[in-house]
Amino acid sequence: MSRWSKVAAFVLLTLVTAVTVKNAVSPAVTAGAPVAVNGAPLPPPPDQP
Amino acid sequence: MLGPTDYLLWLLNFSLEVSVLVCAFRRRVFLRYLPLNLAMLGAALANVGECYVILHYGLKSPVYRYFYYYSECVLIVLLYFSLFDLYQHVFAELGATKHIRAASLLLLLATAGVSFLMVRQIQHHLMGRFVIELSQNLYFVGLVLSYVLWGAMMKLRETRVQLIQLALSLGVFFSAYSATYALLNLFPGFEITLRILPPLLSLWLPVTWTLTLWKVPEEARLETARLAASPAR
Repeated sequence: MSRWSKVAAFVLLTLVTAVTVKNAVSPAVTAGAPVAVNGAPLPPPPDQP
Repeated sequence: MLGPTDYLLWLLNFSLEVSVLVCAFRRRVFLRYLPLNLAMLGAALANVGECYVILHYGLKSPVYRYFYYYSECVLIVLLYFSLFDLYQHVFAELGATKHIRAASLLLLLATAGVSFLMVRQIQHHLMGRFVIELSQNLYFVGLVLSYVLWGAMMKLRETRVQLIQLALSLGVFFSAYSATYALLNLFPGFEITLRILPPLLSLWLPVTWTLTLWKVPEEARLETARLAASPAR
């Protein structure tokens, strides 16, 4: 198995695992989720009409 | 409406992000961990920008919402490259730099592609939803990559203390945020997961990175036996 095949396999496996974990952990999380790298306050969700 | 605690946490966060940069300069490792320092610089600048936007447009304004999510997306991409920079340090002796760079770009593109597929049916605010979806997916990609990096460090008997601590704190950060997502899913609308945990958790990286760069010299090495158990004879 060449190094490039290993790179491709690594990328694929990582992505599949990450998406699977994400769907298992938070299937319904959409806008308003706590994406926060820095400490700025989370914006409130937009007002529904 | 923001309270004094929000402002205090925000200010603390900004000060710690600046302190990471100061420590990196003083230890002369700014260029050595360039993506990591750029992530901290970006976070500090984003804080200043967010403060400006809140003061001029308000917390509930669409301008702030866009600024927040777009800047977070840029920051998570910078953190993602910081993680791959740590990979490059760990695998430097194996001569895999070119492959790691290719893997990082491929994985980023693939994550962007998957994120787009997830939101493509949304008619309105497609770009905004894409940015949020990409940020969330990159968090989970970062989580998986952190555990793989920890495994690689154990396997290769990595002994550089500074590198180990930087990688460990990044992994804890990604894990903590994944736990926040899980809590949000379990208890939607729960005040702690929405308002208190994110700014508290965002202190973790600047605190640990400041301590690492301040306390641990670059040449510090860990005894192998303390990192991984020696095989039984």
